Amino acid sequence: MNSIWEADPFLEEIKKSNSDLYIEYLNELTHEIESATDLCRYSKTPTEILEVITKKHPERRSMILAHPNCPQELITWAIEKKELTEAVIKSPVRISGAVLASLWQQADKEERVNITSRIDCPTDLLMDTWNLDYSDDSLLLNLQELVIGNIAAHPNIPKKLINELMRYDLNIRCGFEYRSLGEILLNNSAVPDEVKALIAIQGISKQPDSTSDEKGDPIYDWPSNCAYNYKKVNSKFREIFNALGHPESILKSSETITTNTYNSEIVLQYWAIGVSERIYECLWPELSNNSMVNFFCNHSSYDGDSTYVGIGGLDLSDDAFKNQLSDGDRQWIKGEAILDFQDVKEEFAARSFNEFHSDERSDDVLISCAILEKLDDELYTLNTIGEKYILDSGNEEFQDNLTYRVSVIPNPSQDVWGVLDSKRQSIIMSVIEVALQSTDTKFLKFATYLGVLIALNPATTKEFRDRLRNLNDDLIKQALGE
Amino acid sequence: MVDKDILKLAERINGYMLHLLEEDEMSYSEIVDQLSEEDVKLALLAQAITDHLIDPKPALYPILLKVDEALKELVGK
Repeated sequence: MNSIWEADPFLEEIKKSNSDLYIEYLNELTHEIESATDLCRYSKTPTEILEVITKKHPERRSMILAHPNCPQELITWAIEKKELTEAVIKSPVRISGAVLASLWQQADKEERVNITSRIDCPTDLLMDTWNLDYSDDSLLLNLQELVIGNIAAHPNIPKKLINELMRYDLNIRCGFEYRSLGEILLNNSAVPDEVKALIAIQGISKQPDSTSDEKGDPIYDWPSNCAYNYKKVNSKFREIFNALGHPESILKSSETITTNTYNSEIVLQYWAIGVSERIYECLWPELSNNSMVNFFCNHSSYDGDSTYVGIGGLDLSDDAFKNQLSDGDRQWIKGEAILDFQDVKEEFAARSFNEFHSDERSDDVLISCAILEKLDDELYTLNTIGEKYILDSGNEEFQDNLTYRVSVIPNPSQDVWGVLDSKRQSIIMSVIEVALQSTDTKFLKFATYLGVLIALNPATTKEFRDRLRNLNDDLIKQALGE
Repeated sequence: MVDKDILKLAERINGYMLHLLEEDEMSYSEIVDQLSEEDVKLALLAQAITDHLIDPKPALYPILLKVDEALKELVGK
């Protein structure tokens, strides 16, 4: 199972079976800016739809220029109007030599250098850019380094420039990737073998192309999700996606569940990568009744925010069991990231004064630390103003990577597990059962985690407890109390 | 009510610290290197006194007096 989707499986299914309906849906999404934006991010959105978005939402032109199916008319318009030049230069769409030449004419030097990074840049523009004056380059903007790298890697590199570049030190670093000139030339198929042999003699060898394995941006938001996320989208499309087994249809009782089989891998991945919070809104709130269960929130500038379940006696410390939700604006996760005086004292005691001054912490922190460290010497007493001062500076200082308890309450827009009808519960169980056969560790763990949550839920019936037992998973068995 | 003498002493220590940090552009770590970690902690207690965060006991006075001497010497260097 891939960790990202190459394409929206439900939208592509409609495209295959009913192209008119496919176009009708995409047109429906062009009305509102939010759904239109989702379409701009989706690499398979066809040109005709992007044309519609260009007209309806001019503020998305820059995004559309970055789309592989960008309409040629938009590129022509942008060049004629001298708008969005940077976006045009970066556009993945092929641009004719004549159009690029007119773009080059109106571009500044930095933009001209960037044009040479385009694979369709013609030889004469490479030469013209090479011949520009780079004497005003600075340490922060070294355009000559970039142009050397771009031209050395270019399939249209003129022979004259190959000879020119061979007079340079082949070890100099250049281009966007800052690789050696010799390496870049060796990786260019337009460079003759005899030249490559000369480079190899100098001890430079071909390095694997670091860009060859690059894939597009991950697709976390399918256009089909728009049918559920945006109320203005015609509800008939939700019905269509429900019938195809869209994961959104499983947890929401107002949606129709399909009589066809749900694809367990797709559903589990949809839940696991946190596209939707529904699975947590469904499986967490009832656990609050279990005295063994605590919910925690952690804010970390390094790892991001996460909320997770802690259950006495069960090891749920694996990262696969933590989601990326914070209490933030969510009404169904409540908690306050505030340390009391005792917590602050403990946090200060866990570090030393030396650590704080070496890290150049604020005066407030250093004074607080000094007060607390010398407090036992009985040379002074701490008054209420001082306590508040330490409390405030401690909360400011230890805010990052702070873990604190939160409470989870039912979200009125999502039925909890015990309220879901048995058909929906059964679908969730089937997803877990199939996923537990998976060889992908990440999803196997996530399926185990869901099984644990259901096992701990007091509303889980005997039928489902039996099904969980039959999964033969140690952690789930522990959660069942066996 | 904080004793006037200790308050005055604390204000003088704050003045020396301000001089070192702002005029001499020293960091706390550099001051620690020149004096000691203990002296710098005590100098910060002087700040806590003038900000009314702590209520000093008489026993603190002679200790701060030593810090005052050390800081005076450092500023004079």
